[in-house]
Amino acid sequence: MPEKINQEQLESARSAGLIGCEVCSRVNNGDEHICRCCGSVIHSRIPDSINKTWALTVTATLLLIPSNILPMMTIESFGKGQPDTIMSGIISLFQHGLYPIGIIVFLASIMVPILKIIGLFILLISVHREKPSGSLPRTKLFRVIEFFGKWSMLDVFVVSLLVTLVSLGDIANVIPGLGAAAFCAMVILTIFAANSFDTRIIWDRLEGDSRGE
Amino acid sequence: MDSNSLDKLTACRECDLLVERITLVENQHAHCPRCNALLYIGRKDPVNTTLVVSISGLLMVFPAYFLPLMEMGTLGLTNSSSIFETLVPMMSGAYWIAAISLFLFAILIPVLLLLFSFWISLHLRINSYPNYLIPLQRLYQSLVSWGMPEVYILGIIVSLVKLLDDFTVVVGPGLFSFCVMMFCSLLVTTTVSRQYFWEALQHAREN
Repeated sequence: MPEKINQEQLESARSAGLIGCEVCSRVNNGDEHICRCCGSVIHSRIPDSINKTWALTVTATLLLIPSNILPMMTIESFGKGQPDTIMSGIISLFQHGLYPIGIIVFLASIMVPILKIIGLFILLISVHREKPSGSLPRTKLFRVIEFFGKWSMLDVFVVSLLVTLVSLGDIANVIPGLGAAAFCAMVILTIFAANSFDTRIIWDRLEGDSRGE
Repeated sequence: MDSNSLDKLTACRECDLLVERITLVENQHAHCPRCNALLYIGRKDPVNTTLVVSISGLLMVFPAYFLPLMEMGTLGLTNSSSIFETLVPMMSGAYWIAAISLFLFAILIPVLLLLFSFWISLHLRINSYPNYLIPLQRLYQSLVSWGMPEVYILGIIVSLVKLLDDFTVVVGPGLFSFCVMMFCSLLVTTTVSRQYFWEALQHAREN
């Protein structure tokens, strides 16, 4: 950023009694419920944002267990085959010498979901604290969470592709596992959790704005 | 406040800061002075570029979905599948959630993004503003974050590398068309200007 900004001089739409529309970015008077430009329902802050995000994040954390323990898929060759979990699939990629692909799958399926859930917990806990850390780093953390979230879908797409492509009767078959369904549900829940988190709340305390929802 | 003085302002989507609205020249980006969020971008000729990109993408839809993606085989047996055929075996059992998310995020939404941006830009081009254009633009904006064409392309690459280890794989014409279509769908989200749409709409209402 080019220059240091004096936080005192800045005013949020809420403290000015206005509501910004998230769809068309017009500003509305505070007593409006429908945006005058695009007709969307407008909220000063997403209603129940923190509670919704807590619920979705906790559910996603619970689903992290079955999605890592249950098999993603079974590759059957001549009637024999061993079910692969996410981790064992990555290990076998490394054993076959496919290091770049192994690293990509490890990042997308293990690192991103875990770091995303930890990040969401950090944001949620910080909102409840009396003296939270800086607003800017937390907003940046949210942007990272939002950007990388969808890359976790990689493994779900790969399983779906392999199931279809590898269907050669007795010679080779890929059977999907329950882990794929749990993993997919977990990723979708974390995306919903990030969408329901209202970053404007991070900045509210800074202005000493205690008017509540 | 009356609507004229409200129109001079915008609120940051991420930190709710009130910022004065300024007119940008081409390729300029307006950032929030407090949280540095991207407020809006001055795009170069958004309507015509969007039309070009979306039409190119839409031309590829049919070959991308119905021509074989790849053909693989071993010991003389082969199997080829198009994108649509990849959905069928996943629809049974508890995997419907994976099948539905594959269908929505990687197949349906990228095409809808192309279709909607084409239709909206066409109307902006001929200066026609039917009533359904506003809900259509709103739907387009909410779908943007759910389109995952780039993730699906990486998924295809990962599957290809895994398969090449044990099988012979021949890439089909569907894969090429699919990649072009997905690229257009990604590109179109960077050529569409939301700012331009809402301003053109307001301008049309006032006249």
